[in-house]
Amino acid sequence: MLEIENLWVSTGEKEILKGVGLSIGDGETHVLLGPNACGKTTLALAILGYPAYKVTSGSIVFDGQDLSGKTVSERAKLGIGLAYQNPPEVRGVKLRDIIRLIAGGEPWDPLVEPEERLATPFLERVGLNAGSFLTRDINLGFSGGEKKRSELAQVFAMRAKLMLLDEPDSGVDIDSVKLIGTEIGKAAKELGSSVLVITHHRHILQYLKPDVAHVMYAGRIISSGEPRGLISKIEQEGYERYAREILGGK
Amino acid sequence: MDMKKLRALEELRDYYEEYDKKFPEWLKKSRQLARNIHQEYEDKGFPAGRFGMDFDLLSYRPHLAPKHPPRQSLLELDENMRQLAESCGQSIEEIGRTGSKLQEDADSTYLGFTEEASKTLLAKFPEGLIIKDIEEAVQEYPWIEKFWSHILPINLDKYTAYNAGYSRGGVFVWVKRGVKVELPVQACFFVETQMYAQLPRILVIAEPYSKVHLISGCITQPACDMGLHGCITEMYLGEGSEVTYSMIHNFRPGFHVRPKIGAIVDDNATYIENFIIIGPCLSDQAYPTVVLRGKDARAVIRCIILGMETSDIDVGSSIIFSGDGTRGELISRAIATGESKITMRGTLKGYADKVRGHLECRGMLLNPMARAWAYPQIRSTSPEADLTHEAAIGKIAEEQLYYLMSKGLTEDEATAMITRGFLDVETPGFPPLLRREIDKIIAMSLKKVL
Repeated sequence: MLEIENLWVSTGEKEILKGVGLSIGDGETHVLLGPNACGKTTLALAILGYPAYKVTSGSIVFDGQDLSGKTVSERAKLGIGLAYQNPPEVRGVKLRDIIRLIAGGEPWDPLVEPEERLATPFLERVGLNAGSFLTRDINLGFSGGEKKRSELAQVFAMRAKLMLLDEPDSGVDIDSVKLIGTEIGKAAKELGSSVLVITHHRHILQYLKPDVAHVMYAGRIISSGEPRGLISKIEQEGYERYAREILGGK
Repeated sequence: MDMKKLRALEELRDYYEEYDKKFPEWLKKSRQLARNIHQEYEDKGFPAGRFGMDFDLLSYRPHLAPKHPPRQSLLELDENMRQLAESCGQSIEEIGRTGSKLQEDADSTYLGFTEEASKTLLAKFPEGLIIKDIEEAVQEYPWIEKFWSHILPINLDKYTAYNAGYSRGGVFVWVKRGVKVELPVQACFFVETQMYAQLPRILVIAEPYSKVHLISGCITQPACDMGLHGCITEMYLGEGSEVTYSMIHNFRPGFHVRPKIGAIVDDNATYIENFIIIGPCLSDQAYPTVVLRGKDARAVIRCIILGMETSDIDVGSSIIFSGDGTRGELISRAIATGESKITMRGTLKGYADKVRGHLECRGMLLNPMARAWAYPQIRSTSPEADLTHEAAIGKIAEEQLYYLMSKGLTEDEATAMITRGFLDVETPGFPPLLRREIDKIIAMSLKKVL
């Protein structure tokens, strides 16, 4: 599904990813761990093709297609969906209109009164009250947890083949983590999607049952392996010590 | 003054000597005074107005238009005129309206109540709402003198004097005490003659505890490239009344537009204004003045401006808080495309205790050749006044653009969605049906420009 080889990405003068390699098979769920500012979000945005994140070397192949030269919209249309960690507010753009559009309704036409039925199930699935959220401006005044849920609803509506979930569980209460985790698992199964979830917490993983975990440190993936073992090790040692141990000789 | 101007003035004088014969003495005098002031301003070489692009008023003449025969109903308008009228918030079938007025050049060609209004509102209050051609109203109601050029003095600027001296047509709306007119009254002003100066006058009197909504749509025929449209609109809001005034402009690239608007708002009354520019122009300048005179009076003003082609638009409002506890809010949103220039102004003047006002100007530039300015002003002489403003001009936020693109929208779709959202401001007190109509009008115009 996704093959990333020796990926180098920089923003402006600053090099952020320094040779990332990652391979996610069809229907697999991977988890990406790593300390703050190590490049996890950058990796997600680079996969999506944000022009500000310049690929200086390496390749991203999705579903057999080299993504270089493809715009953000083209990549989204191929089936890459990102649930943002901090989505921007867009005044005046209703959640209903976005979901309806990405769920494959008619092309957006400001003259057409939007069909609400199309968007409702996606919101209900993630526990957002359709009655009040359909007509809300996107992300405007949403709480942290509400933003995460709305992002997930959008990724589900896109029927994304590759779901990139950037900390879907941060700032979310424990009951909601269960709901979110279960729904991600269900959606991935239904759609046969591959999932890359970025997280700091073990809790959500018990519902997602990831196949592989990766640890990112200073712009590189320093180790990959069986999730449970890897996570316990990091929880005991912390990223610094773990990284020193792995990179020790280098 | 050059010979050309002198000859133009002479021609006007001859024409209006005859035209003014039907008016009462007080009005004849007032018009003559305005003409003298206009001539003096021309002599001194004053610009057309305090703000906006200057131009030669006398190139546009208010007397040179053919006579337009009256129409039996708005349905008589041809397909092209219907579409234009509808683009300015006019319902040709008069659905959801109380009454309609149509003015073509100088002539009032249709004026009447809808069947629905006759069966409901007028059955209950036969004389509750008066809508008349203003030139008939001044003959019928001598007391109008007290309300004439009272908010907008005739010497305000050259343009105001020109209109006050040479106006033709317009509409008079009078709502009686306690009568609430829920469905809007629509007035459509069509310019159909090349180089014509359409100068109507509008007077709205809302007696205490009444309610009315006037939608004025100002448009021109496609065959008519150049011209001037302007009006003098004065509105008086009695205690506890509510008046909504929605103006929609859809002109052509060769048009100068100069509406002069003033409102006086008494105790607990609410004035709501929606000023929407959706078509191109040569220049459009407006600076409505709202005087919140009564205690706890309120003003809500929205300006939605779509600058296109080479339009030079200079609009804003001034709210004067002279009554205790008055509140006012002015929100302007402008999108500048093509080579348009947009100036957003706004002034809040606080002279009383416990007043609260907020002013917001936001502009979005969609083309490197487009320009925008914002001039928010606050003046306060009362320590108890709470007046605030914010202003911002910029291009589309990239963060928002890529966000929407990452959901699968193309760049064009994302741009359209963001700009549409940007113009989507809350319009309190707006009937939902009308809100949808206005939304459609804005969306349709955006679609054309983007």
